[in-house]
Amino acid sequence: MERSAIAPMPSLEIKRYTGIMDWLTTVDHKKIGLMYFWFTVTMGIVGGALAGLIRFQLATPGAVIETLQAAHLAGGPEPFSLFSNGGGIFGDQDRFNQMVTMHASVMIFFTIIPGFIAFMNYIVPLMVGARDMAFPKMNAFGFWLLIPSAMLMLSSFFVQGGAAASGWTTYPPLSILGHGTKPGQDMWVMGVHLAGVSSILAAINFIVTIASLKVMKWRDLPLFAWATLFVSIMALIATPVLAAAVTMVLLDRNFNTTFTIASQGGDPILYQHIFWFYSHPAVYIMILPGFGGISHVIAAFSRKRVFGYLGMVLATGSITALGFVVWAHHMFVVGMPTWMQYYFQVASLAIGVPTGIKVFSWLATMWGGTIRMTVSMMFACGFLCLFVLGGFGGLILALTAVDYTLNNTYFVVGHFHMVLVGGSVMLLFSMTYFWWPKMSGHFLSERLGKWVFWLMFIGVFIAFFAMHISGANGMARRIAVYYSDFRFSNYLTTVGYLMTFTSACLFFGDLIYSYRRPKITVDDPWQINDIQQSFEWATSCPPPVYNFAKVPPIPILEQIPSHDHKH
Amino acid sequence: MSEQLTTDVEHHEDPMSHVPPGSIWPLLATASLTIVPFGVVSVLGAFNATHWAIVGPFVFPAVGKAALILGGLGFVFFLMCWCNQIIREKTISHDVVAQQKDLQLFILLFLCGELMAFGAVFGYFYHQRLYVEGFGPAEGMEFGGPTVAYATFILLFSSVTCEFAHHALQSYKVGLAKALFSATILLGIAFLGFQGYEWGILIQHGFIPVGGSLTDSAVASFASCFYVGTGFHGLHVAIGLVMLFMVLMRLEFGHFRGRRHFAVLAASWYWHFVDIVWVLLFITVYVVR
Ligand SMILES: [Cu+2]
Repeated sequence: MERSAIAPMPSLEIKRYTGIMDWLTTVDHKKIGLMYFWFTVTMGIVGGALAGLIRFQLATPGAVIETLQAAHLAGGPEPFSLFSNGGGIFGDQDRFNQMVTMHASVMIFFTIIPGFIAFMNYIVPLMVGARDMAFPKMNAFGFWLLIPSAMLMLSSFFVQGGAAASGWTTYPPLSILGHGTKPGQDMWVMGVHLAGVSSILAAINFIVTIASLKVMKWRDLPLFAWATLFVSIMALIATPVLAAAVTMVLLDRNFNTTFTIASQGGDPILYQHIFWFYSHPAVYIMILPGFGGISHVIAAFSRKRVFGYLGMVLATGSITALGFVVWAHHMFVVGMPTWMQYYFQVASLAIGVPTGIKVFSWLATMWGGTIRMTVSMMFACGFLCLFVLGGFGGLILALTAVDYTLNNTYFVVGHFHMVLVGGSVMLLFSMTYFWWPKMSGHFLSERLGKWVFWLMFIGVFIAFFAMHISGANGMARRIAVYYSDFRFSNYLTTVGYLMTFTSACLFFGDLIYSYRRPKITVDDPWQINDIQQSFEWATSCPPPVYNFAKVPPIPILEQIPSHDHKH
Repeated sequence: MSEQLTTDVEHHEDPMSHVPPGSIWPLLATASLTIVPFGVVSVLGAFNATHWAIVGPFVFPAVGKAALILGGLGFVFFLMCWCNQIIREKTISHDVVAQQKDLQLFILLFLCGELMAFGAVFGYFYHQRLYVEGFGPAEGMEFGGPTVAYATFILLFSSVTCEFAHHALQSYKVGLAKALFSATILLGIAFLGFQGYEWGILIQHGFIPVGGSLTDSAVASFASCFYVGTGFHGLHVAIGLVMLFMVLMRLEFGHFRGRRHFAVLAASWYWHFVDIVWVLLFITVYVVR
């Protein structure tokens, strides 16, 4: 028989590494999660520094435009013809464009997205009662890929012509400029490729981990795991499309194709459609994990089970689905047919409904609970305030007619910073204060944390609300200089930046110092395990390499109190 | 409060399957992948104007080319090492059925992602077809002759041999399976050969988006889509061939006993996927006008 021809099984010696090699060869989801976390912190400092340079430039209107404005009033040329040599600290507008592009790229690809992946990596396998991710080596590979990606993007500052300068949206024809002599844009594209592969692999891994390794039934799956699942589906479907879009730019720059070159039969607007087909879902990739995370935070610190579990799951699902059919609200002014503008306006407004369901469910979770105002909870509440505010800006921008006026002004910049910093970053802070004791085995300071929170909350509000004002008054984005009419609102933004910066410094110091605080010896330092539907508080802080010696008893959602019994 | 439930946790009680030993291969694979993009930029000559103190030897395109090749080969090599480690771990693990399911889900999801990437190409194609006057090969040009028909037939036939090979393996006819997998690989190589020939002829006739003999911008746009669509597909055929080759080698080493042959399933699914994409691409490029 053929089967007897099969060779005997080779025996496997398990190699265990120690020290630095242990980290370099690790496939443990907890170690990889921590590496993601520290990568995110590092890149957050880089991205914040780039933001600081931008703010330094925009702190004053810029000398050149003042002169030109005077000349214009005296009958001279339009000041905005100045586009290509703005003056100021960068010498020219091109340097400023590089700062803007790289600030966005670093924050999106290396800070917010991997920041959430850090928590998804660390917490989700614990939550669902698994020993590790479904594909541990691929998980490590996904993390390592971010490093060459970041290397490519950041090192491009130092090559001839500097970094990519066409904005993170890489619109042609701007992104086709300088081909063959300015490699920054090519390096940016290949950096995005690597980051894209990393996020596709992570997405597949999360889907399989949740679908196949969870010990509870679907109807008991924790909300953070649900959010991870939906985000992974989004990332899996959307990211290859981004790769295709930026590949077109790369090919057009270097390999004689004409995908985006209008004069040679290409279509730059079609590029925008393909790009936003990824990048609108990407904004949900940057916030949905946090939505899932603070459902746990709010429930834990209100001492109640989360309100409307099923509604939360369905709302997350419908945001995922709707997220794929609204992309063109980013391009109302490119000259689309009216019916398309109308459709994309209505569909974009419709996303407010599931988002509203989530916001009201969080409020209802707090309602009647015994609220403990830990720093994590403060960040969750701060998120609710700022995110709703930023979300309303989004509703305004979704109106086609209004968007015609506000497009490419600081109103747009204020809106997406309010939802990304006031939303995603506040969520990241909330989740860090909540789960850091589990991840490191040490508490962050609750006293210093109050300072971190208030400085950040007020700073973010001032900085980005002032941007809305600048934009509504007509200040154009991505230009290194501005009229002196916008001086005061820009002054406010700079003040807000400095407050946020101080807050981030305090947080960073505290994060490092936390390792010197006493080790947490209990499994459940927040004393919330009885009202959680997940497993991460049922093992030590930090958990052992195998997570659970035995799978803990499965909590039943219905048996968690829906109101506080002590209340 | 929570309550103890009796669940089937056997899946999670196998320490080998979910607390595997460390692995250096992901890091080394990434390290060799790191030099590839720098090599690409260098080969394109875009580092020429940058000071050597910043990009080092990458200012020379020749160095870039060497780095590109070394990086690519290194990546493939470390990937092989990685696969080898996984195979060694799997052969002594007991939790086979569950892992097979996970891996099948993995390959399905991966193909979904691939489909989206091809979807962007197809979307571009049909958008141009709808909105651009004259999008297609130039008037009176020799395009899509018998070569393409042979290539299509060969690829479709290879899908059949691949399927029969899989069936042969399932009924433990290892010899037959080896022969059929070898046939599939040869047919795949023949397909790539025909494609290369077709490309060669077209390029010789100046069918190039920029810098060839094309004067009509709509035709140039079609040429871009044609090369990128078929090139991207050809790349996938090549990857499929590597997978089939690995399956053949592992058959040679006597792996795949009983129900554990994920690699065979993966290679076969991948090959069918490549086949289906080709059919869609063939219709899009040659049939729809
Ligand atoms: Cu959008």
